[in-house]
Amino acid sequence: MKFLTYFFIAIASTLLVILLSLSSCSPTPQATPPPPAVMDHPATTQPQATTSPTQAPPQPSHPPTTATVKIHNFKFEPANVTIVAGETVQFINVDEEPHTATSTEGTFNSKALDTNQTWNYTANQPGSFPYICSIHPFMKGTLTVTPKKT
Amino acid sequence: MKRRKFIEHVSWTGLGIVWAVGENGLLTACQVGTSKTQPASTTTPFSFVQISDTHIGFHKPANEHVTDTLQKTIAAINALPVQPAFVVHTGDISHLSKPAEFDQAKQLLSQLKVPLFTLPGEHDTIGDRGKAYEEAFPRKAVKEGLQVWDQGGIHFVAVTNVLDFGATGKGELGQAQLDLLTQDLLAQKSDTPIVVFSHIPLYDLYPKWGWATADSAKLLSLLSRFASVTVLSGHIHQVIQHSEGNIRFHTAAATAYPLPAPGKGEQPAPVKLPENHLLAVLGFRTVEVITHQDTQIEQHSLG
Repeated sequence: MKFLTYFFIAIASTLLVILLSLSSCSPTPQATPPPPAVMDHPATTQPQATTSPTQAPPQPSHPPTTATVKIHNFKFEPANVTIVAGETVQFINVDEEPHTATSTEGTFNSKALDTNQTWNYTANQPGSFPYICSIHPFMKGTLTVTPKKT
Repeated sequence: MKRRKFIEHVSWTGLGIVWAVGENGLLTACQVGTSKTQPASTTTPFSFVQISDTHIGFHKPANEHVTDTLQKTIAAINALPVQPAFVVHTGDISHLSKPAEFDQAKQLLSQLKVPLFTLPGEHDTIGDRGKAYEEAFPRKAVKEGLQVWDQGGIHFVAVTNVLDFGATGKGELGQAQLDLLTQDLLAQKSDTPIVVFSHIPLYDLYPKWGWATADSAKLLSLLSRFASVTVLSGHIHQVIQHSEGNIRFHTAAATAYPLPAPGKGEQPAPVKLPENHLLAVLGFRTVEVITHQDTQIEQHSLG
């Protein structure tokens, strides 16, 4: 009896496999892409990122930056930065994907930062400014601006 | 004893068949126009096409030729044996919201033989909350990001959920748009088929990557009294189906590049596939409303 059970289960599963293969069209209805062949880890694949050994900012005409936020692997690094009013923070995106630094209250909003692009923001208003990447809004950071000492 | 065992075997086999059909056959068919041979009712079938995530301006290894794949998509739509009533683009027309990208997309999309409806994705609203997008793709009678129209006995609703974001980066409709949606949907008869378009999915598909809409519950409750509701979204560059009560959700393939399945890998970053595999996961879909209850969706891949 047991053998008969296995036999029928075998037939049932064969039928199932055949049915599935017959009815499958190109993109399968459930989650499509096969396991990613290459997930980009762009920091290692961007030659420009390593060409300047010094800390020199790419755009020397800008006011000197007092803080840098690196956008790397879908994260703002560091996620919390504090500067004094009047100082400038530089965002640099080293990911292959574009990102932005967008204040959730509308205080600042960068352009789209493609790979290795930078954006400088000079903060004049003291306060705590949470921001996100508007393309990947699960990325979060906070810019804290302290009042200027007089 | 024998009889009991036999029934057990039959039920195993039956379960296998039901699973196979449910997994694959629910709304998908392989050939174009198969439904024409068996009209389910006297209502004339009404069809339209959804495309999504063209990302014009993207030049990375996952697809260095996004204009070519869009061109292929357009040619395939124009070659459909029955022309759809319209094509809807569910967002991320451009990659970086640049005017040149919008121009190029507009030029390519103008080759479509039928009218085009659009709604913005978060890649279309970078830095200016969609100003450049609206200039390039002006929409009729849009209020608070909402556009509605009636065609072929169907009520169409296109929402915007890419301008503000909730916890974990979920999209947001916003109260103003929800108020308009309430007004609009309360005025519809419950046997009118409703088709909703959004960029970001309207259910909790994968909240960790923001693949959800924070305030969609109100909209879904408004939709719950209708006999037929189909929600078509983009954003996640892959086909996933889901249903909640009477509401059927479908996300669309991109024409640009695939993204990983929910939670596969650390980030939702473009997936690089071999050329021949790439075309198989890109494409568009046709949607046919056959009766007031039944919607048939067909995937068309580029490869």
